[in-house]
Amino acid sequence: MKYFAALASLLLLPLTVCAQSDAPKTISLGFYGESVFECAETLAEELGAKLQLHEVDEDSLDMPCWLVREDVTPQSAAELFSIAAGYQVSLDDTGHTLHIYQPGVAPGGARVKGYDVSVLSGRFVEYVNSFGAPAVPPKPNEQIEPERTAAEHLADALDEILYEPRGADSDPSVVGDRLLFTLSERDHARVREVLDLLVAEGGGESSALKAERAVIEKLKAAKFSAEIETTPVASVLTAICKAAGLGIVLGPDLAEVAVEQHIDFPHKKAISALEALHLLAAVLADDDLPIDLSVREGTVVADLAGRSSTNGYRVYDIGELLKKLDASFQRQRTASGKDEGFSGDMRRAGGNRVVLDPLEELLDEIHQGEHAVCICFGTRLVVRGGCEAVDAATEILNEMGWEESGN
Amino acid sequence: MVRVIAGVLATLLFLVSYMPVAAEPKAERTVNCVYPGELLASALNDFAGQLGYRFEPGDMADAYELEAMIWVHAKGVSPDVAAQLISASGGVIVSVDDTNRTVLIREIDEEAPAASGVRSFKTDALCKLYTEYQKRYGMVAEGGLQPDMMYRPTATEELRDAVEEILQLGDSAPGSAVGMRLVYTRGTDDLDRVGELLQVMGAAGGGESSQLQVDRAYREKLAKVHSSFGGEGTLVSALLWQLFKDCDVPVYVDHAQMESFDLEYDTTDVTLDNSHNHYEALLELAREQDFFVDCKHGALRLHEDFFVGSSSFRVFDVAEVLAQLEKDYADLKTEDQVFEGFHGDLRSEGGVQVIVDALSVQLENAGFSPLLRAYGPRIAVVGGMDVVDRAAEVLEAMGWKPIRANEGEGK
Repeated sequence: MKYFAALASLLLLPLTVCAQSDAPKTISLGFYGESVFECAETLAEELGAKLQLHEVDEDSLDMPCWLVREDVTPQSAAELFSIAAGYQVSLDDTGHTLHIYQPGVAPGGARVKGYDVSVLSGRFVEYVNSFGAPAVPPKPNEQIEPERTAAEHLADALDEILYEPRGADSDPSVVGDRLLFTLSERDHARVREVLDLLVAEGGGESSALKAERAVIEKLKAAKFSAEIETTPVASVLTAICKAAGLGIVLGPDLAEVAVEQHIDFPHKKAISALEALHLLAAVLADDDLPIDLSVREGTVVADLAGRSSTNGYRVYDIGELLKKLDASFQRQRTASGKDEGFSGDMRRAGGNRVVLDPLEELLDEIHQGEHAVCICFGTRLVVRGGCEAVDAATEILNEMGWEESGN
Repeated sequence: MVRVIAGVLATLLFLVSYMPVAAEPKAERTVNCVYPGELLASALNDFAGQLGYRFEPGDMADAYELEAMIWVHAKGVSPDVAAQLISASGGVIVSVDDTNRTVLIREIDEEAPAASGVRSFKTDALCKLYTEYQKRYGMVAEGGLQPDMMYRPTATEELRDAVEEILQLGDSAPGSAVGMRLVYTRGTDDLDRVGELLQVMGAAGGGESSQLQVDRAYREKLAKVHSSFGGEGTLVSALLWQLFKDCDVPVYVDHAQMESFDLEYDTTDVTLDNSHNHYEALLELAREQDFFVDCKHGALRLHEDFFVGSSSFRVFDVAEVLAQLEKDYADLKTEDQVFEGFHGDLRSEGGVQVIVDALSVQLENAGFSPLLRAYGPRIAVVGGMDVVDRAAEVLEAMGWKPIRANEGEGK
């Protein structure tokens, strides 16, 4: 028996070692207002990588950096640092070099991939054939817009869905029913995800949106109480997130103010961390410092209002809703030539705009319009935004008659 | 009878006396061009010295070019190759005069390139390929053809224009399109380049130029070298020397790039460590210092512009992609005149230009802006191995499948 135990322990030993070496390396970051350049050097050192600036001047990285996060993978650390720095930051695949680029430029090491979008294009052609609004004849002397293929419409939609203010321009090429992107592996994963969700029956939520939900649950569950007096805004935000066991990153413009501006935030009575964040946001709005809160890489992101870093979205399949609406338009047709009569149909009513336009209007009315971007591609509707905006959109769609698939 | 035999014997004797005799192997002279940041004048003195000749600056005795730096590292090369490399790095023309045992130098006269011969090239097969392409995919001019407004070249004229663009032959000494022939009066080097390009363009599946294959071989050699070197404030010149000093790869920095470098002061963040090979470091340095690498005159060339005339190119045959795209666009057609509808086809989308545009955008997204030129279903990509291989990846992403027709030949 002892022999077997010894043998087993010998067999297990290399397995344990392997498991340890395979475990993803994580690091902890604590940047509390040092310059972005100093923090970049520290981050590179932590990662065991070399720092390389690409057409970025060292002097332009002198703004304060605020990023607090424990146990984060190297790639996620680079992404969070990108938000804090306001530049495009990426760690190459080998992990040897931490690159800082200007926003918009293509990072080195990007690879090209071609995506076959024939299924989505085919669906779009079907949609246009069934519900497409009639083309508006050009006015005299008006330049005729060149026609665009389904794949080109899809490329436009993806551009809006995947837009990253600090990221590389995706700039896809459309070749027949293929879309070509030259991107990093992480960005390719985002393209793959959105294409999969667009194809999936019933659509679905992006992983970023799901991750945001998890963070919000943590914020709801955590209790926060403190007597905070004359403390920098950045520190108050950090304390609230810490209460929920979460990290925080401030956008560079907010960091510039938030490390200097001091506030009182007295809350003896325990409230949830989510409520505390909302309360703080309201206090700051009163102090002429309106902020937006979002979530990235499991970390709370705070930035000046209008500079949200949200990149989550939900894809809705509105095919059935369009059919229902088509039937309802048919039912409402009257005999032609009558006063107050109606002789139109879904096509003439605008196809998917019948859903899109009221959705945007209603989101505006409940002040979620600025937090959500609605994009239609045939029978697929995408709402890009945080959980709150997406949930509001879902509610509105439900009221229009949209049903979750399987319901 | 005797007269007949004597006549035959005399004829045979005559023929034998004129038969080529196998040339006695002549020991080929070689020189070592080790001029990493050397003044042109001192490099030329050294070059002449190695040959046992004299350097004669002639009219250029006081020229500023002689005081400018060149960067060449090529060991064991023929005097002709050495002269070409020194010329290319110095922005001058260096020649070896064996009769007077001198090394000469003169300014580049772009108006009058050396024309040493006339050569014509039959282009029937390529013209046929182009005509077939035009009939099937050629773009229809908007508003119909306007005879006096449009340049409508024949297939041969279009080929002449393509050759001129791909090889950057310049405006002087243009080629002539005569029926299905191209005629050029130029230097041997240019004539050989034109011949090679036409041969590769006509080959089934396209192919690579011989210089691109040499480029590939050199990069493989560089990829086998590792060393540890550099740190903060390393001079670019020092890193370049470290990259090539122990490697049997001839290399030079093109004159235009030499003018961009300040070898005395320019520093680099690129460092060498044993986990990376020298080829990776060279590419990293190229990205950092904004230069490109290809192959010309049998040596790696570090240069700043894809449009300076390269001998490294690959021709891709995209006929099958075009056939597939023709089907794709047919599937993308919608029925009625509806908003967001599409009623075009591959012709209306631009034919092969659909592929060229995508190739251009995606290469640009990857940091390359090479010279691309289509001729019917053939696309030439001009540049070094990294550019050409990246172009192949982009084309594969479009559904192109490589036909390894003449790859490997000449290796």
